[in-house]
Amino acid sequence: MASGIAHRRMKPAISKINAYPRRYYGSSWWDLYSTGEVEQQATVCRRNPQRAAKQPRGRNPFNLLPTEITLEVLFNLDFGSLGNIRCLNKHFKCAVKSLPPYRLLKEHASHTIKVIFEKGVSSSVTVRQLWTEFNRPSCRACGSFGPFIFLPTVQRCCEECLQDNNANLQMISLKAVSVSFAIPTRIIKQKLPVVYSPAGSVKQLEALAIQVYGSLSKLLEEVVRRKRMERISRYNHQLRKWSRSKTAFVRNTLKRRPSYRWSLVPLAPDLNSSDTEHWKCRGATDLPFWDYTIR
Amino acid sequence: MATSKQIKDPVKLIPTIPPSGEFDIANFTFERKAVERSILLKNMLEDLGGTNTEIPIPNVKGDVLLKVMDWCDHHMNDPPTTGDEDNDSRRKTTDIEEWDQNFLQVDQEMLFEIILAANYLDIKALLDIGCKTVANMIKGKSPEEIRKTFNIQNDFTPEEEAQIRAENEWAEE
Repeated sequence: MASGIAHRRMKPAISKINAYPRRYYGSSWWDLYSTGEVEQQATVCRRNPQRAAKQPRGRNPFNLLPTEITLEVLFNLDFGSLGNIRCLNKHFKCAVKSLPPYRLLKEHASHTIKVIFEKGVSSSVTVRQLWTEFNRPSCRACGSFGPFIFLPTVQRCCEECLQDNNANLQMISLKAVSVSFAIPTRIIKQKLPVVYSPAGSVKQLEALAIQVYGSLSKLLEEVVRRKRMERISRYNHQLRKWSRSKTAFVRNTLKRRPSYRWSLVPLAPDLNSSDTEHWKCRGATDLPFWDYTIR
Repeated sequence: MATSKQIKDPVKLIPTIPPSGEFDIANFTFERKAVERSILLKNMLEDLGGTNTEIPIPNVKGDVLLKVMDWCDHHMNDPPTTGDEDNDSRRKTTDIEEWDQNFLQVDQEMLFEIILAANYLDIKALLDIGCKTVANMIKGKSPEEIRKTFNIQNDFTPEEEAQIRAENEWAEE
């Protein structure tokens, strides 16, 4: 079997070049495979050869590829698609099962994978990304040991960096995005991973917002406008609540003895203040570290 | 194509499976630097020394070889990637360069043959982007759509398939 690099390291290139019998030279690979002259290399396991033989074999291009390359393709997939691939047929079910990084991750970091599915980021986290992080112990921001993984960008991080005001490791709720960054929810869902409800990291959002509005000044104008609107609507809401409680109070006093609870009229908001709202959230879960040098 | 340019240090590759249509061996002369993107051929050139610059290429169709060498020509001057840094840079480049994307907009058969050739000739970067392109073709599709795209036969009985799907749903719980 034409296995790749490992095979080649053992044999010098010059002997490799003549490794194939001459009778294959004349026609194309494709024809040889479809007529079944060359043994199908990509078959990992075939439990029921009779049934497989009965079906008319179309040109499934994966039959051309050696198993190692099929696995390399699967390695680039996200967890959601990998689940779909398992349903294709027995060959692919076995291929997914035998993908070493997936097997190890499932065995040692099943909790992390579960969180990834739960938080709805399974279609944006690829096996390759999680595997790379699984294999390195240090936080990407500061370099000390990081026991957590930040989901939107799939990077390892530590507690200190998460608590810091590091814009790369902060998330923001979807509702706050439309106010603070003036991006419609629809665009966010298209462009960035959405973890359950909060969206991508603050840094990613800044870049996206500037991209949507063309320039920083235009963006700021829109942000100020939206912040003002948001504050006004919040004030109106409070006002309505207050007046409701007021009428309720009057109604109650007619029935019973008056209670001396007065609610205050809400203060009008300062429309031009630039205070930061509490919209920052954390988007990390724990990920164990796999030291492949000693295992 | 390579012939239009002045080639300083030519290497001739002779495909054992010639391309369809008119076959002109002059088209198969390439810059040594481009040929050396392939580790297999690089090692061979080292083994052969400076004198012999004609290499027969079995297993790769002429058409595919031309396409692969097109890519090598374009990426001739890329810095070589190494070990750990390689690991880190690969992690960031989940998207494929625009030139490479256009380069790989070919029919499915050609795409898979390019991947095979890249594996055989040991061109890591091309193999990588090839695999990523195939992965992108799979992403976001339902099992039925994937089967249709790649002509994959379903060899599960309906009960088995239902069971596997149920397992999947369990993973999503």
